[in-house]
Amino acid sequence: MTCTGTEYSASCTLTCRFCGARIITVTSYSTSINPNDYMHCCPGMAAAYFPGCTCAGNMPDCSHGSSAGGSVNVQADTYGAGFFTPNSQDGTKAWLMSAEKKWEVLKRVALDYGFNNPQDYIMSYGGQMGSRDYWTAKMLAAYNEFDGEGAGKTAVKPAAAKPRVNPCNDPNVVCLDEGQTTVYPEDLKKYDPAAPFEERAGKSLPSVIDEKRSLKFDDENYRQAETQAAGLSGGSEKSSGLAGFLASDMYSKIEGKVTDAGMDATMDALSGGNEKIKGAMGTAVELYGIYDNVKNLDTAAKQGNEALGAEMNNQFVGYLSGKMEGIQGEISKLSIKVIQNYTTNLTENVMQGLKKAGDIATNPNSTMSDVRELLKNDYNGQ
Amino acid sequence: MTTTGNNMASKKNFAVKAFLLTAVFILLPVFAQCSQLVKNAAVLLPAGSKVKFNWIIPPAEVKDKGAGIIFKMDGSGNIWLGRDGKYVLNPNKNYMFGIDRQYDDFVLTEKGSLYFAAKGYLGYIPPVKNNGTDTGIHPFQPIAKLPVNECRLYSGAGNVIYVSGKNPDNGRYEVFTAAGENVTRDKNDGMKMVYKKLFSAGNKISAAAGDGKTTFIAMDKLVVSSVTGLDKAEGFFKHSKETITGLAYDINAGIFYCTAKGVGYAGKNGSTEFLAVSNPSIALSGGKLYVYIPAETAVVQVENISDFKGYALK
Repeated sequence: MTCTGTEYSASCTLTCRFCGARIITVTSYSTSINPNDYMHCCPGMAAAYFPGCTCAGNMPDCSHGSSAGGSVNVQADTYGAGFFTPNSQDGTKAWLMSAEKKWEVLKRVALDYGFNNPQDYIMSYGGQMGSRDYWTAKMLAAYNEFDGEGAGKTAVKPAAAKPRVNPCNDPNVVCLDEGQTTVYPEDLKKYDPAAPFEERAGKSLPSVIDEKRSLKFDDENYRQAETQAAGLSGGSEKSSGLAGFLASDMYSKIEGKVTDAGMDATMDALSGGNEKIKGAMGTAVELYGIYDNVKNLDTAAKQGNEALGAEMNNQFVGYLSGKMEGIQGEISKLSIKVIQNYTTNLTENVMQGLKKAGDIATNPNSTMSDVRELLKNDYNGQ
Repeated sequence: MTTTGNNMASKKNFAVKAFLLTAVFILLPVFAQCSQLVKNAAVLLPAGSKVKFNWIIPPAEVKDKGAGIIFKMDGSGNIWLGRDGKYVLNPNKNYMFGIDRQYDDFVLTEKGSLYFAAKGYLGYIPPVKNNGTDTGIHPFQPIAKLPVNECRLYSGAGNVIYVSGKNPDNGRYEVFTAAGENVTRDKNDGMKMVYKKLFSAGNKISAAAGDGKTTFIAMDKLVVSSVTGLDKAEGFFKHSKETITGLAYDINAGIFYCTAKGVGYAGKNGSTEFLAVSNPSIALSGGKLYVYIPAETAVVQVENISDFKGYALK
């Protein structure tokens, strides 16, 4: 299964968007899968896609930097800052869908290469861009007048060192990590999954709370809101009373145990407590009609009748056939065994099954037959 | 009870009222092998409603309490079940894994990003390369410290994540947004997490939903709505008997709620409780409502939910 921008799943395979070569198989449903991490050097490529990068084996090597004073490190490019155009892998990234964000990316990349004006960057490095990126960059530059300091200059200068910032110095926020400085994207990716948790936590981002738009809701607000809401919620009161009755006393009736109390509760619910309406109802004959219909449907179900419902006395009385195996058919049939065991009995055998499920999920050659076999052998009655 | 001639008119009167109020109800049977009605479950729909029900996971043959299961949906119609704060199952893809830290909650955004709240941090599971050493237990990588204790995570429309919990300093319950946009960069490219606090109350918050701008917050039997930037929250819905246990918001359809006894729709022009079932959990995905029924280990999909807008009762 090929990974897509909207659905990263176990056992999906990332392929190079240029030559289609398989790059890596992803085995975890995760937020951090970024196809840009797996940038690929296609056969015949002398240089990787990024300006300033070369091909080392089949992976780009951007460690040499560029004469322009900086390079985009593909391995650390968490947010795809080197790309301008969407593709099948990262097309859903928010920044890619926003012209404004693309423009910000283009400006940042240009600065990384020592150009204050993206136009100059495009002129110098456009020949190494793919045509789509080149024209996207040209259009962005045309539609956005670069108004930063030094606009129009073509001077090539190294990017300045970036001092770390303590976000707690901002008087407008509440600090959660006193003394912790901001984290650069590349640092986020340097964690070791085998490292102790504390070490991993140490690489997290500093957190602050912006309270500018916070609303404090006090007891008086609560009472006012209750009064306000009560006027809008009457329908729910009626329907919940009746639905509750149908779910409880109705069921009892089907089993031959209907109660007068249940009838009264229903009429209370239908009348909204209005005694006149309640009195006018007289006997709940209609309810008996409903009971009969339900009994008929129940009988039909037990006889294997898959009819989904029947119209009787201006009411549609129906049921979801037990033989309807869910709109996802096969998935439902397979899922049910897994779920039964997952929720009832997470035994050592099931854990072993989990391991096998992981193996299957991580093997790009796995088939549905493997899954079926797993379910049959490892989840059956455990 | 007996029928009298005197109450024949009342009978008609009642029928009309019943038609207007309820008109349709459906009792849910269990899986094919049993062909019995699901116990203590009923559906109540307006006449002419286009709302449809489908089993996504049919009721289990072996009944289970379903305790300790966290039910979530991603934006692609995939079901995610968490158990014991340790494991996660995606039955649609027959995929299961554990994480190496006890989690309190997890959430999926509309685009499928998976986040956990564990050990006081918001975090994720990094990708695992297929090097043959995968044990099925994956490392939890913290992204940023959580802003409150007893955290719960809720997905909102448009990739929004809500975080709610208890402020240890003042004992108040608070709601924040935390999404990709909340990870901000300073002028030097350094990244930090900025939680935007939306709401603070003395009452315990049991659920939150919305799109990041309009937020619905449940406290006890009450649901209030708050629009970011407006310094007020309005009473939106109040259940007559039950505490609200869950909320789900669809931009087109509106807000759905659940209690220990049922699932309903709450709209500006009225509300209706259309499903009576024990201890449900609800989630929205792709414009459809999904209801997890713990006692049956079943998931029901509700289609055409925008239809409720036209039928909700005053």
